[in-house]
Amino acid sequence: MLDRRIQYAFEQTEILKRPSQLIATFGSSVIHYYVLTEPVYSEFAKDRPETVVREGKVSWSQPKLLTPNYMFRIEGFSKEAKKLFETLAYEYPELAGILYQFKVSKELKEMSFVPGSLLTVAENIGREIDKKGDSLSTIIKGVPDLWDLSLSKFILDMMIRSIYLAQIPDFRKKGFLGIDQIGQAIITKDKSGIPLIAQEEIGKLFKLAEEGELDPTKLKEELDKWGVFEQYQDRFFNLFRRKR
Amino acid sequence: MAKLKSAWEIAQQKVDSIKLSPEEIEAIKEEERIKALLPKFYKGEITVNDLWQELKGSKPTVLREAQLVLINSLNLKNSPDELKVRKEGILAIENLKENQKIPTIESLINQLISLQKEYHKIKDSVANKLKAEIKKDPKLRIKTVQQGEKIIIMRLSVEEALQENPQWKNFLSQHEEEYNQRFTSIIERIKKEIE
Repeated sequence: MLDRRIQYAFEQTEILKRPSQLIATFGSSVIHYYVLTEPVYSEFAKDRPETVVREGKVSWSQPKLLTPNYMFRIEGFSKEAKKLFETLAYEYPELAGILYQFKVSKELKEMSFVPGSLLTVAENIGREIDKKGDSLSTIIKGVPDLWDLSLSKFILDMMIRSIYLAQIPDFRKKGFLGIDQIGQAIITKDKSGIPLIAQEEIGKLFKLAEEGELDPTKLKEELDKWGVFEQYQDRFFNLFRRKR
Repeated sequence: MAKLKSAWEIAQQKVDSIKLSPEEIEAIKEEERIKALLPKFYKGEITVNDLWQELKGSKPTVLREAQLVLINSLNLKNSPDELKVRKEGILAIENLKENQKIPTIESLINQLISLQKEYHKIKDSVANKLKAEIKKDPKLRIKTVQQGEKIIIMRLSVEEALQENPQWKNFLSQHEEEYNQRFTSIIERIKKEIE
């Protein structure tokens, strides 16, 4: 039943205007959304059309490149997902995954009834966006009652476009990611088997820990998630020697 | 106080109560011999001639049993070589019987071989069509795993993306069901012929 509702909402939702910017690879991103739906009473008020406009913001943390082994160690995923990560870690240990964490800012959610048909209202909002040179706004034609699913479709669409047009090219440029013979995106590793992205991230965390700005427990957790504690253990224990 | 019987004693008592006739014992022995012989044949450790020699002079029930084991090992997913080996084995054993039905059985096995070829031809054609679509549309190569506001996205190979494709999964289950039914129906006819 829920699947059918999701499918229906996804089929009926239309992204009328996409933001010209994608999710940033090396930073966070915020997109202002306008979800437009016809009011439930539209059938009875054909002579005075109105459109329901819901506004808010979706923010994304910096996308994180990871291996299936790392995915398996992330908390919060279901048993089924864990099982999949475990299988992937066994069969394709170098397969690259990109973790996106997003948040729909509820405090900014606003709803207003605007006179005019849905397409007219969409055109007006679109004109305003263009006038301001706003590259971080989107207009979505949503489904009444299921508008949050319409927003989910946009969120997914945004990530899929970004992974191809921003994250994969950016990570490849940095040498963190490659494409193997069968066309999979894979993590690039150094001679000792440490992912280059892990080296970079761990390096930053060590610096913070050495400066006393990061709890070493967090660093240890990160080393474990990448499965590289052994390679970094001397440097890790040095943190405590220095403190004495 | 009555002595408590050990599990061994109870088991022994049960075994003793079952009396097998010499014929039954012989049949069990024959069955065991076939069970040991046929895996060697599947693996190519013995030839069809060796199999024929081994079973020569066996009782009709034994021959039928050997044929049944071979027939039951036929399935849609056998490789062409596996089908060929099994076909040769079934026909060689048929050749040892008094009332042989070699042409009928051979024709039925050939139908199985044709059916399997057809199954693979259609499957490959649909797979290639879907693979071409996947290559054209990068979105079809994406695998997402979501939990709340966390989503992991992976770019899969074309082959993996095909295995994950809902259209493919749907086609494959229907295709396998249809061809398994047709395959089983021919198998049943072969079984009737060897009786």
